[in-house]
Amino acid sequence: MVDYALILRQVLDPELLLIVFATSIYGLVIGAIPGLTALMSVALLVPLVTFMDPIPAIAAIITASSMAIFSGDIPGALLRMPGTPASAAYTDDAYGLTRRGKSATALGAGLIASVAGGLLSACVLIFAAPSLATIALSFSSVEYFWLAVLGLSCAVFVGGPSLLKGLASLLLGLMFATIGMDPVGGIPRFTFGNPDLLSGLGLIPILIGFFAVSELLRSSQHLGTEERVQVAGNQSLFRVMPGLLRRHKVGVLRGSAIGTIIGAIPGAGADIAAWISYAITRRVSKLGRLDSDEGAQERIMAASASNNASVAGAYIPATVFGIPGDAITAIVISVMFLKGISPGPTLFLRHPETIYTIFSIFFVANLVMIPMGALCIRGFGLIVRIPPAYIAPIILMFCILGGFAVENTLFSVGVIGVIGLLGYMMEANEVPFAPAVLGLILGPMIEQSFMTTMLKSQGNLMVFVERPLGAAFAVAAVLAWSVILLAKAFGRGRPDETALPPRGTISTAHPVIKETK
Amino acid sequence: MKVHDFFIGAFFLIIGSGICLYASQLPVPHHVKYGPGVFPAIIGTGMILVGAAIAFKSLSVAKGGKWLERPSWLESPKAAIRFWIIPASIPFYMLVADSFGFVLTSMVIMSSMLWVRGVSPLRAIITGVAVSLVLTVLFASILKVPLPWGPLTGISGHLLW
Repeated sequence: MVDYALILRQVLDPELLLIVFATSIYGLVIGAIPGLTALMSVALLVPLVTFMDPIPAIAAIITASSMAIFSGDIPGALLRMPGTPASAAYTDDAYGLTRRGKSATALGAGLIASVAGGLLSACVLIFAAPSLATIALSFSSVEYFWLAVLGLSCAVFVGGPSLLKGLASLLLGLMFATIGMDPVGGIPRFTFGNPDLLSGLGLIPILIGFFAVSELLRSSQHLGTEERVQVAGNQSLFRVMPGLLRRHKVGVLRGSAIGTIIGAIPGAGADIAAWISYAITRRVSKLGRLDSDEGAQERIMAASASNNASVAGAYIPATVFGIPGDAITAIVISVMFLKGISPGPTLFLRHPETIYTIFSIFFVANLVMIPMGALCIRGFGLIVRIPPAYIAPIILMFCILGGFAVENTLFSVGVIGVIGLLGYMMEANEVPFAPAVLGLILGPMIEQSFMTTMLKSQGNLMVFVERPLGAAFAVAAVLAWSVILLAKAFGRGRPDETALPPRGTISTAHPVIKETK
Repeated sequence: MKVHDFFIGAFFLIIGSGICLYASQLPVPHHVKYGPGVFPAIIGTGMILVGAAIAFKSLSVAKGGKWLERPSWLESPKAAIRFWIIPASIPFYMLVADSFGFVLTSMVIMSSMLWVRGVSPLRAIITGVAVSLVLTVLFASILKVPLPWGPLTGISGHLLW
């Protein structure tokens, strides 16, 4: 029996609310600075959250990521520079509204849709995750193997324009995962006598290297912008929001549904959710097809609901199967392990209060977003005034401290540097990160489930398709690859690396899908 | 820094071959059929195939790009310093932090990075000192991260509580 009073007490704990409040400011500021992504906000939080209790730690991550995804809209609408890649899809629409003197509408639409998307997908999370967990209880190593294979296939598919480079990235991530002691016999691999390598490279230093250090390298020549900001007063913000939500409720609902599903697919995150929702709205929605202000609002709201919905969607596979939906939940999973909570179906049985408290935090964070988001819109002028020359050195110190604090070794500081350079080269050569990150996280699960199954069956490969559930997953994996290869052969529906070109700015960090008309 | 896709393919091909070679030398325990080398060998073989495919495709369709595209940080010596100071700070920190302590090392890294990014020397030093102290209070005092103190060990008691 779930103790609802305990959940309520945990959610309304003053310390937790204080952390939600503080991290909401942090997330909003990071998201509003172009070039700093939601993922970076989470990666830089890790050294802080490792010293918190489990629930506040995850609350901090949920709040910071949700806020950063929303506040990326603000510079998009006011400066035509998306603050995070997730806002790139509708930046032109939002900026267009601002130029016609309707910045409050553009930002109000983004804010209320983000809140609605976040709340709706949190509802889905609360209702869908426990029933999925009941099914997952009957999984054996075979099912986990296929599930991980499915996850990796999705990661390659959404990774970028080149299937081969996506695969190469995936294999690189899997290779990183094999460094250290092998999961079955404990024999050291690729350690070359270095004791620091025995426990592997560490997920957090690699993520900091990929997503923070490589971004610093890429933006090293960006020292400032001469843009003048017309900051939107929020006098009319609260007045426009209810009307917007009423007129565009269908778009918001559709966007939230798309976002939740895309978020749950491993490898696809908020940016892809926003692009897909935007493209679908443009094609199927009566309002979304229009080139008028009304059409722009519909598209902004559908895509904005979608990117915030994807944040909660990613927690479905993360909490139910322990398979992260994106890099943020990958961090959440490793923080959970650090704190002694192992994600997976048994978590729903043994600690239902913990998991429901985590889900409830989505409601708190998204409700807090209304006043805090409005404040951030008002205070955006101050955020823009932070000179970029000062931001990078502070982030670098946070990266170094982050690498050090998680494992307390100078070795992991070195890892963030090497991976940062590698990430910079990969990004410049269109080798996507997402498959490598997924490979790194799912690698041990794949290897362990593969090896234990092989050892149990004494090398009989048929065991992978003998159980009905396992066979169904195997068919799904084969289907996924057929779709990938067919799509490749016919050249349709492939993600295309064409980032929106913001004027003289740091470009966004991730490959994005071009809208196909 | 963008290079021709041929090099990308060659990179993965070489790494894959190295992995396969290493995996083949891993010992297989007597009582089990599948040793620790099986999974790395699969990955290595995959990398060889994918690397070869990337390299082959880049040459056959002639759209692998230029052999080498000049990165933006090669435009001027200043730009190069602004770029390389970031990766250089990390080995610098690893070498120096234990003997000189976090506070002093961080001050040097922060101030010099601010300076090469166009901040006036005085401002760079003041900001470097201030940020390093704030970070120390946050991480060492509040979060209890065992940061090295170096020559400042004697006064560390005043900052740790």
